Amino acid sequence: MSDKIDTTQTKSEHKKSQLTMAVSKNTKILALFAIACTLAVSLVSELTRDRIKIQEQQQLLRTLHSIIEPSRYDNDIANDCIMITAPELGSNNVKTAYIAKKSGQVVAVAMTSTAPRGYNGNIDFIMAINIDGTVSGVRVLKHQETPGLGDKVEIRKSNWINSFTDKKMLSESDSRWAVSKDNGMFDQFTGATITPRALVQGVKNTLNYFNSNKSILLATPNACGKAVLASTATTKLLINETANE
Amino acid sequence: MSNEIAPQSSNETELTDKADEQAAVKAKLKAEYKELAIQGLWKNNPGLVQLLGLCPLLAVTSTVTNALGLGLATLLVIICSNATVSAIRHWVPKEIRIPIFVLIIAAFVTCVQLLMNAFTYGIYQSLGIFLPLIVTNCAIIGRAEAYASKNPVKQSAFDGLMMGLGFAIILLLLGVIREILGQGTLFDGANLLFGEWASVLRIEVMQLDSQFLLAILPPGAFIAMGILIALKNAIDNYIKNKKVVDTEQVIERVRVNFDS
Repeated sequence: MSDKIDTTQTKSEHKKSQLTMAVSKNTKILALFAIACTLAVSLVSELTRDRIKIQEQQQLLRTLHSIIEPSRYDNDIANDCIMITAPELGSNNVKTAYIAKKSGQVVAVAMTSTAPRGYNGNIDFIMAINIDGTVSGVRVLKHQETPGLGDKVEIRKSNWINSFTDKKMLSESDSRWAVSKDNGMFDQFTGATITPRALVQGVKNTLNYFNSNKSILLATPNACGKAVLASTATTKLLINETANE
Repeated sequence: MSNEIAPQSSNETELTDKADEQAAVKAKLKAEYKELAIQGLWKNNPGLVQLLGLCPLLAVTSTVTNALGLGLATLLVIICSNATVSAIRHWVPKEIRIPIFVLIIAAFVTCVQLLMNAFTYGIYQSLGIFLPLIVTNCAIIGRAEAYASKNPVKQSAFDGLMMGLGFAIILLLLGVIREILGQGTLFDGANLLFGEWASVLRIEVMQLDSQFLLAILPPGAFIAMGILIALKNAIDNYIKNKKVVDTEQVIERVRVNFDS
């Protein structure tokens, strides 16, 4: 009897050990594959990192150039910026403001901001404000408005966004800063009033924020220069290389 | 002497046998490749028949450029993943094959995403979330499981190529239909994908005063897709009917012969 019990016990133990062996073997294989895949991805990531940074920087510069004439400033605008967190700018995310300077004097500030009440959520935009408070230009960076109707805020689809250029706030509650349906000076789109209304409101809020906080903003020290300095040296080299090619 | 001759002749027959065998294997391989091509491009097309990966298929095909971008990315991923899955098929235990396939596919998608971010920044931005979503494209894991895990590397890569091409062609067709109807253009924004020289590719097919919204929005994609599937089925039916008619004719001839 005892012998039998023993054999069944050993059998079950044997089975168990087989199972655990299979499990541990599979675990090892899976871990090996995970490590190999991670290595491959990190290798590609390492190889493309500089190139991606250049692309992002170029994209940023292209956007900045479209709202501030490149001839109006002479500093490295992409690396001269301050970080702002203010609920007036539409959301609680950190916003970046790029400072354009000509021989040390601030000419204009390009701020990213958010218009919170779009037809389909937030509309992220960047706007350049001249030091005298006039708008130098606005570009929408990200939105989820209806294609064909609300997406006319993109410069690719319509030049409506240029109607902000050279506009100014006369007072903090300037009633002209609205769509023409609300007796303002900006056109709405046929079939889409909510999108332009949200954007006009967002630009107005950002402008108000800039006007009332101008001195504080301009006194803030540069926030993105130091961290990026080392990498920009290499990226600039690379930009020059690619330009030469 | 005779001893020497005998093995020589047997060697020759062996050689010819081997050559015959090789020829047979080659013919078989050729037939297999042909079958793979037909399956991927027509009979078992991932877009039209399997209806896999519909989410990117319907979402990004509003312009030809986007469709081409996603088609190429998917093609690259499916070839690489099929080849890799096939190469490692002997070392992967059956129980854990799915997580390993997912790992491999995810790794390739991430690599393609990084490369596109680095070299075709514009198209990377306009494809947005649908590029990483290639991971969840069932067509890819479907091929890995159904074909690549059981067949040699070359055939698997070829199968991936054909399936990817089949998918890309459907993407392109939908893109062409929707871009012409919606915006009246073709290859709008091709410079985002291929660089500045490609802006000459842009064709103004017809002048539209306002965009035809239905074609740009997702419902237009569904309708266009439905029409494409109907078209494919109609062609299949036509071919089938024609074949039936042919065989009937043959039978008739036999009867005529019998009567006379």
